[in-house]
Amino acid sequence: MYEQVNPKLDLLTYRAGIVETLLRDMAFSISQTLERPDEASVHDLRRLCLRLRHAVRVFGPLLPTRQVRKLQGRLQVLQDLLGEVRACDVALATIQQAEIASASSKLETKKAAATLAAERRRRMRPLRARLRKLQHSVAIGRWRVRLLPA
Amino acid sequence: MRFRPKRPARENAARLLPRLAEKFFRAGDASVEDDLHSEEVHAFRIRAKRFRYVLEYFRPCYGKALDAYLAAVRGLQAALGDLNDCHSTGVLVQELLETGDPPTRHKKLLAALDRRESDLLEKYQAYWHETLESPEYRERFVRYLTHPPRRPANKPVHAAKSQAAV
Repeated sequence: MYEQVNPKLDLLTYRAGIVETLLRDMAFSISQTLERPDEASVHDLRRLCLRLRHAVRVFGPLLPTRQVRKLQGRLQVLQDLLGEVRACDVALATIQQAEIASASSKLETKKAAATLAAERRRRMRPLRARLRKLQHSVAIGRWRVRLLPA
Repeated sequence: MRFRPKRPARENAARLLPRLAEKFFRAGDASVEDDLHSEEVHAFRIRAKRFRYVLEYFRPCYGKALDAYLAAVRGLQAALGDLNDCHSTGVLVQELLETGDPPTRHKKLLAALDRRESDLLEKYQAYWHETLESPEYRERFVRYLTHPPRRPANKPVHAAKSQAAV
């Protein structure tokens, strides 16, 4: 993922490469998820969001403090929304695993799957709205400028 | 983490990662003690994830040998992830179905999830004992983190500065 970052660089430049990579991947992943909000896209975006939050925390002392605080807040909101949808995807996949489906009754599994699918659709609405907002406001570009001033 | 921003990334990695690895092993040992439940293992799952993220940030500073260690941590996370998925599914199913209107009981499904959770907890403990518990393995891992190779196997293609321009 970060193979292109040069290890010989000083840490300040190195961390810029890491954060830059994550922001770029995240911008792409947001478009992907809006286009096709399936399990894989939501999972990928959630993983990127977690990584970016973590990177901003780890390299926080080397980044502008005020911007870090703001970004952490924005990422937390996004991560919560992604987590809500992801929980339904995980539950749907888990109850359909052979070990669980065979030990449960078909009717119970079917009912649970229908409820979880409906809940996922409901939870997807605020997430979609948030992602649209991020995309329209070109938030990732702004974060990049604020976190990594030239 | 206390960085030295003006020193090379590799030097920072060699100084910080071995300490993180030692903390990770200590936390892992505590997580496989008897009578633990998924909730308690969850805290270690988060720690393991963070440890892996840091290893990945500094992956370019090390050689290909780091991939084998990373794979071991990923394997651990997969085991912990399955366990957490099973636990959170039980919680969500109960929350959505049993408190729904009208409430429905899913005794068989919840019992199956419970059994699976116990199996996965054992599987995780076995993975830890087999893969990450050996003192020799740990010593090798920490030593490798302390001495990154001078020329990592995968040469960087671009410097971070040139990436910023993309």
